[in-house]
Amino acid sequence: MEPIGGNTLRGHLESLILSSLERGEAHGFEIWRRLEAAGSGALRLKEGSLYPALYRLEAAGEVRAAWEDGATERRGPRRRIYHLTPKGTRRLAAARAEWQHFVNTIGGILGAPA
Amino acid sequence: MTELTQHVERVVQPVRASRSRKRRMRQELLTHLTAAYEEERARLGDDRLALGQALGRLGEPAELTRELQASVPRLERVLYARFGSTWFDRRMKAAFMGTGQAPRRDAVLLAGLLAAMTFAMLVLLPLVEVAGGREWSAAFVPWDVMAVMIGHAFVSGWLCVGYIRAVSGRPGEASVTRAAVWGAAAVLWGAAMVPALAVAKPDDPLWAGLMRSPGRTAVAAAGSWVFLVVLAVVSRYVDSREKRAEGDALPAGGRCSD
Repeated sequence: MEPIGGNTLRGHLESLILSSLERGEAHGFEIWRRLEAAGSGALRLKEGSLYPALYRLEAAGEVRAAWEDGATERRGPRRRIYHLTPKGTRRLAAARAEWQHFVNTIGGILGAPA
Repeated sequence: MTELTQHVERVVQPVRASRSRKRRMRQELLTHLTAAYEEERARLGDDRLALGQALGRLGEPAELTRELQASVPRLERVLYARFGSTWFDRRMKAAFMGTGQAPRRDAVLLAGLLAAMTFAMLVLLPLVEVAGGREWSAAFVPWDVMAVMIGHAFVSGWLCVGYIRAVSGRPGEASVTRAAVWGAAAVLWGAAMVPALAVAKPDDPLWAGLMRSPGRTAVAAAGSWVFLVVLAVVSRYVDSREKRAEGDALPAGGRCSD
């Protein structure tokens, strides 16, 4: 089967990010890794698209971000660490319910198991 | 690493947004790209191939620029589209922090902007009232009152810029004495508007009332000091944030523009 990417994924990207942050705070690259691992290689996400989505979520108060502590031993540019807010948790719950409703409805029409 | 920085710059440079927002975009994308490059290099064992793979993973630059642009708040987008981030940020920094080549001229420019906004408000508000059914003759702000208020806005703007400059900067650069002088001048100038408006429009009950009981003007002047203290706290915060943002600059080789 073709990998899932582009517009199909774009509509759900923010919910997917919220879901990955449910496992704990993370920087952008780690969020992408979690999504890749969870998608078992079936997702074709343009990695740069993660950041506009994160900025939208932050502007909506659904995630919060802070620069990594400067005292870290890691070399290279500093990372920005994101974590889920209570508002983000509520949105994630709503997105899950909406997705379940979608799957039930469309699955019923297509005849696929829900 | 220069290739990675250049690629990030190609993506972020055209985005219409504030310098601090673009700086953050640059840093995050570069961090991501560096990690992707390291990952590909470990996998492929070839620097050239790893670079191509890492850049491809990030996505098409023009598309990413569009997505980043769409994530910028609408007002900021409009503001920076009109003036350009370099022009607007430089003017603001130059006026408030004295960083430009002609800080006095920049302060006058900012004061002029405040005066122009006051003029626009004095013209627009009566128009709104007229649209609501009021007579133009009753809604119109007389020219002499308008002149006093515009002149007042200009000088107040100039004094506030001086005050903010005095309270900004590192300890030592900031001067309590200078701040007190600029602040006192701003408060006195505010108090001076009352008699000036009373002369321009003697029949206005507000100015006439204030002139009859100078205690109220004194209370207003004391309130202005509270405002100035709040302004000082905000200025210190903005100044420290600006310094922190400067510290987030790209690593060596990462020359960037706005």
